[in-house]
Amino acid sequence: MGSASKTPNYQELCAKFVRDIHGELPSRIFEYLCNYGASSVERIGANLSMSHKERNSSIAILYQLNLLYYWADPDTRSPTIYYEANHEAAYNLIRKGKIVNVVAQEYGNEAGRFLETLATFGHARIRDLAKTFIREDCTPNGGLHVHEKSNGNGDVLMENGYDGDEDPHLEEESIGEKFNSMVADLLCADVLELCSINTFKSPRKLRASIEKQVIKSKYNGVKPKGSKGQEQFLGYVREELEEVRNQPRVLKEQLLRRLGNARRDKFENKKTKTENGTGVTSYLTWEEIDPSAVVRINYFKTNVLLRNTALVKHASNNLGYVKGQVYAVALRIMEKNIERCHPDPYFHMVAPNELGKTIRDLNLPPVTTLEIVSELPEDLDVSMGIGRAPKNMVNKRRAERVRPNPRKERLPYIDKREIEESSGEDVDDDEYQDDQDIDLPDFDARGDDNGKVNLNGDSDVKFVPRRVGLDSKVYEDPRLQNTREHLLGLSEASQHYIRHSGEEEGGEWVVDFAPLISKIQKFEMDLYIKDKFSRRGVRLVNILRQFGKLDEKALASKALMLKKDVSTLLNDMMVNGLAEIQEVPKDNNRQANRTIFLWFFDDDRARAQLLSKQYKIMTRLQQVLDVERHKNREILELYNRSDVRGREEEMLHPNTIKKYGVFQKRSRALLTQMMRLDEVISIFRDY
Amino acid sequence: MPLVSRASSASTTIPDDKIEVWSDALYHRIREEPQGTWLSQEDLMRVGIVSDVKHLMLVINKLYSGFFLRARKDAANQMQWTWRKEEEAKKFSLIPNREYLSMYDIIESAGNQGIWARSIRWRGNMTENMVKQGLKWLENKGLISEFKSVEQPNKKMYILSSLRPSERATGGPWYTNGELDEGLVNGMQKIVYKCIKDRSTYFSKGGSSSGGMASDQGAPSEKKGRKQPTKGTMRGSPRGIKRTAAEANINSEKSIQKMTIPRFGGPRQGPQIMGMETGYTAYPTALEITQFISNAKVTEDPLTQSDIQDITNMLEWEGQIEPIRLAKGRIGYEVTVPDRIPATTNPEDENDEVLGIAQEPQISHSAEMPCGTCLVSEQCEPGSKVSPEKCKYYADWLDVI
Ligand code: SF4
Repeated sequence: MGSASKTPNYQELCAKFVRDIHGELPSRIFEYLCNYGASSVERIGANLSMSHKERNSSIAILYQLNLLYYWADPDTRSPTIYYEANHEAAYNLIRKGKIVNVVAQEYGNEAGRFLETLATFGHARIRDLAKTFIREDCTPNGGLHVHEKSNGNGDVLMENGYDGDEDPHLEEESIGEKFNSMVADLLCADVLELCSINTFKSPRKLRASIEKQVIKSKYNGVKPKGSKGQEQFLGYVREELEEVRNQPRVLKEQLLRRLGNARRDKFENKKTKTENGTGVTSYLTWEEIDPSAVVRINYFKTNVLLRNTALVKHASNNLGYVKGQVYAVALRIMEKNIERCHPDPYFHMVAPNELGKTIRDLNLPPVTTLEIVSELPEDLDVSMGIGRAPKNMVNKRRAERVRPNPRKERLPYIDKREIEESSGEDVDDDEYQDDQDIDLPDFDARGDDNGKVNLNGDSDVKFVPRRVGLDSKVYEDPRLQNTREHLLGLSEASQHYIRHSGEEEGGEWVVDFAPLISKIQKFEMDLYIKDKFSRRGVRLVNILRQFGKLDEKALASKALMLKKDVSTLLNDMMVNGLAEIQEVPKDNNRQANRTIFLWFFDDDRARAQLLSKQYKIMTRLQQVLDVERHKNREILELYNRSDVRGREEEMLHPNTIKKYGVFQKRSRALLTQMMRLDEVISIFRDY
Repeated sequence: MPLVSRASSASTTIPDDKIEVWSDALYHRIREEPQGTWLSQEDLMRVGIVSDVKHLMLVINKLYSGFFLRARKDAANQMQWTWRKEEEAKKFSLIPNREYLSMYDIIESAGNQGIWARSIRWRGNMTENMVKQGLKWLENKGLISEFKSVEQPNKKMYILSSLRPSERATGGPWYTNGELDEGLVNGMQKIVYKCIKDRSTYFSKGGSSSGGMASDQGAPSEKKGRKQPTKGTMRGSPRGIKRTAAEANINSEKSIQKMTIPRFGGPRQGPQIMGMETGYTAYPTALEITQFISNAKVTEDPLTQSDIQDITNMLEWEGQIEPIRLAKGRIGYEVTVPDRIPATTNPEDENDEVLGIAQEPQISHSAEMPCGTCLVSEQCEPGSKVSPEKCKYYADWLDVI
């Protein structure tokens, strides 16, 4: 997350969410912390003139939900405790519905419901969660269980229900067992994480204190000098950081160890299919999970799930339904190895052997076509959506190209720091190499070609026999063939949704997330510009992206537009922070007619602008929603009365019911818009 | 302009008729070189007509004074010459005085780029009045003409009457009298887009029909879903395009509007226009599009490949098409997101109406809700004059939904 996350618009929005869900007092403290940075309890109380009780209970609420971090200097005897706001957690409040939905889709409705319970608690002991959860399960109308159906689009903010068939008469024991394996599933998937002593500490301070500790313990308090000393020092720090990073996964490791190697294999490879997804089912007893462990939702991992959803949506829109489905399966298999979308800014340090890779895409093992085929939904007809052309118009050899390394492309939106300089790597063959595939004998689509062809001696581009690791029978399965074709299609698309990285087991596939997301960001930016400034705006922006700085005349002639149109459009865009201008005086007297005006477009600044704008709009939407709620407060109160609930029809006046319906429609429309904004925000910031 | 004078003293010993013969011979020999080739003294010696440098100088002098040669100095300050056509030389001989001559020479050397009147003055080191008179005289005699340059629309530019201003100066086919012809550009954009779309997508009937690949074979052929064309029809001249393009006198927007394409919306797995299978090689290249457009006689003057490239660039910048690298460095084009051919069209964007370029945004942006387009959003704060509480736009918006 960049600097954009600290803009006033963002802080206002986060505070708004806190207020919306947890009420006035906690939100005042949260807002205070946003505005004034880390503060002690005393200062908070004094400045907000709250009573001790109010202050403490509000802080407790915020703390429980991880909406604030604390810090107490470990070197001081009786240290003052400081609190600071956790914006990410506050922002995640709005995503709760979406997260619950995506988890429900993947790990079953029960898991979704469990997550919702946990989200309400923030963090909790597994034992306590089980109690609440199981009790709820037996009394479906009570507690936190909201039984309104959501339509699956994530457009219901806080209310989520499931279409699952829950049997209220289930025996507690069997629920317990189900519960255990579900929790184990979620832990193994990293959706749940263990809370450790460091979980609630300010990550910034924690990192600093770790460095301080290393200096103290290894170097007697004197920071090492020289590049060699520095390197060694960073090595120690890295070790410590790794440990902190691994703390939340201790429970998962334990579980996997206990399950034993055999079972572990079973978990990794042959996941038993459950109704709604895959999981380790029913070989865990209560004792095997530590019931006193405190867990919480790992929002970084759920962001990975959400990112997959967004990618699949994008691919489906671009390449059709079937490719989208195949992609979804591939991403889901990959998912277990992806910790989070971005490296942790505080606890992730690049190790020497990781240099040369985009940090976001570290160490991802490929998925194979076989794996994907075995996980494909049975009713998916993979023969659809291929678009076979007459053979003489197709050159499979080109499509089959294997790329062991990511493509090198110039991309906006990629943080330079994320790509470490790699030494002496070749440039992308796509850009510079003239392949000669047409001259080569045609590659038979059935794969009889067993020879290894190396084009122009470039090691990046090679064709290995396609049957590696497969007996031909498996290979000839049309389902596999077609799935491969879809995967190739995904990789050939200009977004390069996936990369064909090897040939084992019918083809190996990886996703280069950083460049992919960057392309999707560009796509979204263009869409935004198109919405606001028409296609011509997009044209101008892309010319500026390609050529850098240009004056109006050059722009007009490239864009084949009238100069006056160019100028109006650019000025409009400048007002909206999308185009920028630089003045280059021809001589010392800075007169307008002796000055060249060069236009340019800065993707990063445009992104910051866009985000800040979206935050603001979201805040307004929330405020409009507040207004609506306020207007209808009496009706809402009626609907909230426990004696009315469930019997609205018989107890309320038809007019009231009608009014309530209107209110619901309106609030849903507003929430839908907020969810859409959130999607854009996620793409530009979180994925 | 520098004249040749060094060898004049040696002329006495050589009879004039010999010089005459030599000059004739030399002129004819160097005319074998393409026009505009600059030759040095050594080059001319090497031609072999004259063996003595002094004699060569006399010959050159003779040709130069008859305007059959143009002279210049190269970077190393050495003289160079190039030949002039006889008709051109004749025109020079009509010019009465040295100043006009040198002005004409300057304009000639500017070639098809033309030259600004004031530059003529600077180069010729002449007074403004003289230049004015000279230009007037030359223009009246039909030797030079004034034209408008796209690059310098406010400057008086001159060019030899026998030349056509370069594309750079006129802006190519997209400009008429130095003005951008937007109708032409837009119309061409549509035709090129459609041409690319027809050759880079296929029509998928969708549905859940099971069975082998046969259910979704798609040779790229427009309107495929309705008629069943035989394979390969698209290669030569897809029927749909030919008709529309022939119809389309590019200057009349109306005829383009008549072109219709089927619109596909519906469920996800329903009929869609989709991209071709991987490894497809028949994505149209700029050259192919050019050929197609010239065969269809869409415009009066034939468009070159680079003109078409202007249009494909534009479409690419707008995100409507994407380049695809084909074999041997050829670049083909494919339309982007073909399956999002419009369920709805945006009437404001005239492009969208006709060829179904419009795409439904995947994620609706802020433009959809009041705040996204609100002009007073900067002043809008809760509790102030403009505020969400009092917002009229939302009241309306919420009523409509
Ligand atoms: S006035 Fe209304 S539409 Fe405009 S920014 Fe405020 S709330 Fe949004």
